[in-house]
Amino acid sequence: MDDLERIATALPRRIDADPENVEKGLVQLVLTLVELLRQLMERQALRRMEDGTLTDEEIDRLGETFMKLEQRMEELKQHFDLEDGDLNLNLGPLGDLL
Amino acid sequence: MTSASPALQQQVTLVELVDRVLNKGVSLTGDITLSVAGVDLVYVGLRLLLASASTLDRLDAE
Amino acid sequence: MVHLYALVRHPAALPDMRGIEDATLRTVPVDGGVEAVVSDTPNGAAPTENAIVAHARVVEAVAETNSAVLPARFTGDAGSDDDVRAGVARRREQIGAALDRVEGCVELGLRVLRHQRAADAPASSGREYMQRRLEQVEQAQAVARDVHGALAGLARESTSQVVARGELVLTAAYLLPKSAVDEFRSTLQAAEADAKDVTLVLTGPWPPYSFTLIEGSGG
Repeated sequence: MDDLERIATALPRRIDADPENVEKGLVQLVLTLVELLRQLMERQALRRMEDGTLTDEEIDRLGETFMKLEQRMEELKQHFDLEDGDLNLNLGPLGDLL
Repeated sequence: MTSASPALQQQVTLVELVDRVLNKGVSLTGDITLSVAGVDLVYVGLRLLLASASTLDRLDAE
Repeated sequence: MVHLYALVRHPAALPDMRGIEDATLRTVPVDGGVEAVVSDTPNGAAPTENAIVAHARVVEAVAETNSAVLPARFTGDAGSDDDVRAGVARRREQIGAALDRVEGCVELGLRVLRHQRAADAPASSGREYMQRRLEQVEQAQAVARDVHGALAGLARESTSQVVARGELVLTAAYLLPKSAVDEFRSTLQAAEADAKDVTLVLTGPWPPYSFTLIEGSGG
């Protein structure tokens, strides 16, 4: 049962249609886009790291920036009572960019 | 089948159902879309309800 | 206003059921031997739970009675019969080709989940963070290659996305003839046994939502 719950949270959930939650839905959408951009950038950076076109200092700085962004995202999610699964709108063709 | 539990199977099936109906399939008219980096991202819409387990019960029963 | 469920070849075999808001199903014949399966929704159709399920049911039933089906995406409003005709006419060649492509086929969906180790202590440096992320992505890609590699060869077409986010490693869809589904399932079970620490979740068979127009992508 623990395993199941762990894995289930990896799956996307849908936005609640209750009008009282519309604001939360907007926040969800915005945070999803921010998270998407963060991941796109991170993936780009990882590719350049693999290619060897980043200096050690750049890698370190980028890593710290992404860590801070991740932490900030966690804080925002907690503040708005959202979980990982809430920010996983289907990416469609954008998924190919990751 | 695979090692997925029935509950996980059910949950994934639900997600995949909604995903297919809303995001896949042919579209003859323009949807509301957001563009990011020149790629269209289909906007699901804020009026979508969370599908509940009762939906799957209904699906199973019929 | 009409709601569009699917495109099929003429002559369409309409299933004996109702659509969204209990409306009667009917067809709109279009150019080039294609028919659109629709129902009337005077106020447009909002994507509520009931509507989504009703839409899916109709598409499923249409796929049972017609050998080539292009499922339609749920949009609020497909306009009038003429709008549907015009929309299909505009993409007539692609639609014809797509119907040929999905003839006799179903779609199977796959999600590959990877059990994650308990969270390590936060990375002590930016460089360590990047290193860990790189490893995660590379591991995910390796798993995806093994699993998807084994399955894609059995399918007529497939789509896949390596996700590498949390536990979700890969999502994929496979287009295959109905007769090939059992063999596919067996291969999947074997692939899961070979891969380490993964759970494979197979869904379907679905009507071919993900293979409707452009190769490998839905819509």
